[in-house]
Amino acid sequence: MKIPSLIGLFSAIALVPALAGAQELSADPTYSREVSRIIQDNCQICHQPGQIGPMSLTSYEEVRPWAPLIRQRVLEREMPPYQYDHDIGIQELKGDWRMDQEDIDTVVAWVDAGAPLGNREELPPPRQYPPIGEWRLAAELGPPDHTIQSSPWDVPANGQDMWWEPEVESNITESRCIKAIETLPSRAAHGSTHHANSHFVTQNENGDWFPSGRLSEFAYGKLGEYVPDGACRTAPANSKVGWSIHYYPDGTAVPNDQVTVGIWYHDEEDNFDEEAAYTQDLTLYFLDGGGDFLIPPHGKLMTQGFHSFDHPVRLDSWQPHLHLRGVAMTMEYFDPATGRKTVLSQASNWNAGYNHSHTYEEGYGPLIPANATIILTAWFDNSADNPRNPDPDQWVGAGQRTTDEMSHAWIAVTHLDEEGYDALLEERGESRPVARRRGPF
Amino acid sequence: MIKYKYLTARALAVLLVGLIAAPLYAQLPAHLRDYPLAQRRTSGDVIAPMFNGWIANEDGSVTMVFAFANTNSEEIVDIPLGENNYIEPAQFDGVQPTHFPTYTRFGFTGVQERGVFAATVPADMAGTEVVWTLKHAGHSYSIPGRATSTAYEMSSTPRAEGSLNPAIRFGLNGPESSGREGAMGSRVTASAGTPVTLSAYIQDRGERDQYEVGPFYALGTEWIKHQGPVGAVPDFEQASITGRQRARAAGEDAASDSNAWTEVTTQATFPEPGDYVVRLRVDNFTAPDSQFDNQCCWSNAYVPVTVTP
Repeated sequence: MKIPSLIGLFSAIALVPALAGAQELSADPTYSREVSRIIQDNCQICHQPGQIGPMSLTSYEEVRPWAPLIRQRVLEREMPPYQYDHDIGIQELKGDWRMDQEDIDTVVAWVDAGAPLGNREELPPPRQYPPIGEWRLAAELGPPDHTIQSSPWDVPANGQDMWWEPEVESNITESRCIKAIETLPSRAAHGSTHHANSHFVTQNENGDWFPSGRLSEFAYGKLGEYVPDGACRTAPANSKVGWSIHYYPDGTAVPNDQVTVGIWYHDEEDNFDEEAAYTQDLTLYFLDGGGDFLIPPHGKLMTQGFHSFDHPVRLDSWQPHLHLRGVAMTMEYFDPATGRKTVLSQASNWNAGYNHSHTYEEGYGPLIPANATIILTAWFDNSADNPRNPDPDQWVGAGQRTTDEMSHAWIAVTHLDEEGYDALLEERGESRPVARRRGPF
Repeated sequence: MIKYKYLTARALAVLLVGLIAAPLYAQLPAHLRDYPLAQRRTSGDVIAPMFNGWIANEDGSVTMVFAFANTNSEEIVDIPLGENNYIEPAQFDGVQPTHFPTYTRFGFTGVQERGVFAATVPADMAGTEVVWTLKHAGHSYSIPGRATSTAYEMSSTPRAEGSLNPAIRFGLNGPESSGREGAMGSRVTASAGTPVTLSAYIQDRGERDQYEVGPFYALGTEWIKHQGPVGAVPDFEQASITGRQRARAAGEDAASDSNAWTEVTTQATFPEPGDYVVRLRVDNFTAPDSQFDNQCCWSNAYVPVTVTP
């Protein structure tokens, strides 16, 4: 790199804070005019009567006492709970809950000015939200085309974690590509359903049943997921569905609880070409072998995992999964042809209470050439500095209990061939990475 | 002067590299920059005492369940009871292992040997912490068993499809072990290098009537050195048999309607004289709701063995 271009780079970097600071805020924001709309857009879906938010935020009278806490939470990007870094990696995400910086600045300015109400006549009309127990994707897609329920089971009020793993008939009569999936815990057991994974079980030629593709993965706080255009995650006919539901008793007994998975198929107007679609799957990718790590009392640890494919792929979504000591995860990829390592996604403020599948917008799912290496890195903090740590005096190892740790990511991968890879690059106006000529880097 | 120029150029180079590297390094938030990467050494590393959780018993007592992890990939370690391996308060000392094998298990199960022993704090000592200290290879860890966090709460009630801890008896009409805090059998005597028979009776337990699963399941067993002289590793004939292997050997399915007591035996050969304790772990991991890393279901029982020359 030549010196002048370095100077240019430094100048540009130096300008970034100045430009960010130059963003204009609404003068003297009030609740009625600005903040009520921000609260509606970002908070009320959970913070309303009967929802999971611990307090309702549907009026000025309800919001005002919490104003200092709201200021702190949004400034730290703890709320809305969508743990995905805003300054690195792919930023184009579907269902992105992160607040705009401008909205954060408005809330902060409003609280700092004493959280004024303003003119009530400027308040927006109340907004309606789907209640717990109803499909979140229904607002866009209508009710699901097909639902599958786990067998009923009595969730205890207290005690050790439980894993309910029934197998049920899928009642799918025709193999089709899935457009979208959502897993829905019951309203009553919403707080104790730690995760609910489902996979298809199909029969081979000999009549033996065996687990096949993953149907869905749900953990605390996760919404539904879309399968992107040009990809097919198949719902096989005459299959069964195996459930793995982890209940973490939360003080409320729930008799005959059932978890439901909803499937939406492509409509005619989608013009979806099943024949031309590439296979997509949702798979768990371990870091560090999954179980070979231990975090010392009051200690910290980093785990790392490497994964490659012998064909090009497109990554469609990324969902870190850690437990209470987990604090961050990053997904990068290293291309040996260019010697470059690129950060794809990073969540440096992980919170086990909210498991989001970060789904890349159409046209932004990273295209990974054959034989490149996907690098997953996770960070664990077993010290008292971690506010979610139940006991920093303990060693923590891998395991399925909430107080054990996990170190993996769920990644939806569309498996391409070279032709499909080139076609997607062309659609994006990109070309294949240029291989380095010589030297290590 | 030449040296000054050289140093100046070098300082400028360092500054430039630093300026270039800083924004790249800054991609990683500051709070994530001091983490060690997980790795296993072959030897000389920590033997970690671990607390699995607490069980509130009906009589007001609390059972503390302990485990360990040998973080070495190869070195098997013995730490005798005493200044490097003790429990406080002293009334609970002596039940912990002195022998720490290595384990490499698939998936989430990992390197931890779970539920090795337990200590029950009586109701009139409620709130007492049971602290296990292990010192090895320059490391010292004191791990408290405490009933303060619900995240560590465990229970002996039926699992999701009715499984309970299996039962172990050393005599058909003798006392019964069910859970991690196992019964101690009668002392066995043996000669070094000469096989001796160790035996017990085992039975599956479950309340599975309302579920679409078998009423009973074949049990797995493992005989493990729990305590004994340093470096002396006994040889157990068929030290480990899974429930599936036991059922297959009997020409049966893992699930069955029969739940008779089954006698299990091993021929144990102790390499040198001394006092040993052998742990028998009995599991029903063939049941669909039972799994080692889910903390259910298995039971321990212990056999003291005196080995003479």
